[in-house]
Amino acid sequence: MSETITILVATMSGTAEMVAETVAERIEEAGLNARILRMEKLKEPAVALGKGGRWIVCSSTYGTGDVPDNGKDLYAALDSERPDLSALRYGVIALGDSVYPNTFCFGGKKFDALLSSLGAVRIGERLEHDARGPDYPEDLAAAWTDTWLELVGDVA
Amino acid sequence: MDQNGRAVVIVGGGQAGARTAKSLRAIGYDGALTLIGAENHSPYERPDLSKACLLDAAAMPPSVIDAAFCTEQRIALITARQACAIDRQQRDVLLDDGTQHPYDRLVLATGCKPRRLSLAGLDTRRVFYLRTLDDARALRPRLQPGSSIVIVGGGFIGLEVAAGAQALGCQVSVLEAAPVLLPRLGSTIASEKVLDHHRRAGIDIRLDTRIAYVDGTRLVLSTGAEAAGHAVDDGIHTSECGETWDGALRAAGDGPRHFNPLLQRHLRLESWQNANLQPEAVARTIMGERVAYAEIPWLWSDQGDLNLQAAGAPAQVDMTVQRGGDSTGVSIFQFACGALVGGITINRGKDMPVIRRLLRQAQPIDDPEALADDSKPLRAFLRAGAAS
Repeated sequence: MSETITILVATMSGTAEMVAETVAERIEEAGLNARILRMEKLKEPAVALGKGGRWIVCSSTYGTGDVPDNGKDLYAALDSERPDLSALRYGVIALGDSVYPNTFCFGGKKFDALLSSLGAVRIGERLEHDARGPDYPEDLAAAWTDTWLELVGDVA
Repeated sequence: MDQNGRAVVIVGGGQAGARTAKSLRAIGYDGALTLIGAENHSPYERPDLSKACLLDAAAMPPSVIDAAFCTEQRIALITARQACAIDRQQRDVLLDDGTQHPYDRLVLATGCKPRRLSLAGLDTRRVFYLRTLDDARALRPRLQPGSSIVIVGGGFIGLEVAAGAQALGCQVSVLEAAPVLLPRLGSTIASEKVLDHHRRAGIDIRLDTRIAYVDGTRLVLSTGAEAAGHAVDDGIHTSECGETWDGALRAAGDGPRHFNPLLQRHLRLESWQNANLQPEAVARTIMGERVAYAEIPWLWSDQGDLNLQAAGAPAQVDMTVQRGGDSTGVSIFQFACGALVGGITINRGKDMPVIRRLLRQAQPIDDPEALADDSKPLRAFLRAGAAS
């Protein structure tokens, strides 16, 4: 249980990064190590993710269903290189705005679909947050993280 | 409101107009609905025009509503037509193709138009204005490596175009008439940081400068904007719900100068947030329900690798507190008479969601200087139970 859990962040306005800080705090309060990494900073993503371990993707959604700019290269690299990610266990926090009902939370959903198509195993439910809803994203993410840590601990 | 035989006409096919149409259907308006746009495109969001659409010929700005949606929702979308006259007695809009469109309620969402540059001897083939997708598509192929681009106006859009053109290998100069960049931010720290960022990237920014003459260089014009159609004290005055002096007329988007109940003053905002949310209040008034549009103004600008966000639109600032540093990005908290009135983030967007909540909070911040302490989470300054 000593390996670091990495939270990969794709963000436009910064909300996903703020949420990731809360998630990291929760992970560390549970006695584990966490690091936050903006997606464009992950070098050789196919290799890094191919090594497996526990990761969390925290992504907002841009415009009508796009991955944020800083996540586009990572998405394209995995999509074209198609690495075997069967050793990867991951969770997804997807931020969206119901003003775009047809593409709600597509940023996070696209990463989820891509990772699972490469053999990675999602742990727990995907968290979907609506910017128009009454809840703060970091509050939902904190509760989600506690559940996710319990689940991922069982399968690690 | 009795919807039988009712007609709503929306003039303006941008984000605000389309969002008004969409909101009307979402809250159950069942009558006739016509949306009129001057461009030959379905309504789309404009922020990408000064960024992705200049860097990538294939980039499409996000759609607000498309033709299929309009068909499904019985919205009569008329594109490539301008409204040329409104008869307020007859309640009729005349278009440039001669067709007339009677209304019970009319929504003006005509946005802004760029100021035109008037210079003797200017080769207009080398002058570009940026407002529409077609404008962006005309400009993009001219941004070739080594070409000289002069951008008139160092506002958000001017600086975004400058950063894009620089990334494409152009020689970029920005002419700004004011003595500082972005004076309306109300922060000399922020203005200087933005200036420093772009100068270090190699953009030639000249403050306090206007064009004296033109000598064969290409020009991009970003000389600020003015409300289209009705030059009434910098935009039509509207209530917090988007109502005007004419009971049948509403206005939304960049054009009107609306009353903001949180700030207790009228202001005109050219922002995505305003174009996105104000139309919902306008739609509700058409259905006979008054729900104020009450948001803390928030806008952002992506200028190359500089992300700038500002919230609050402060009218005056007498104290600032800075959080973070060059490696972590900077947040600037603006106070007036002890109250937080504005916040700016420079490559530190993660603070902005909390800044926006702090600005809505009625209670003052006990120890403003403590905001500078990066080790204290920003959320700790939020009062429990504060309004969301």
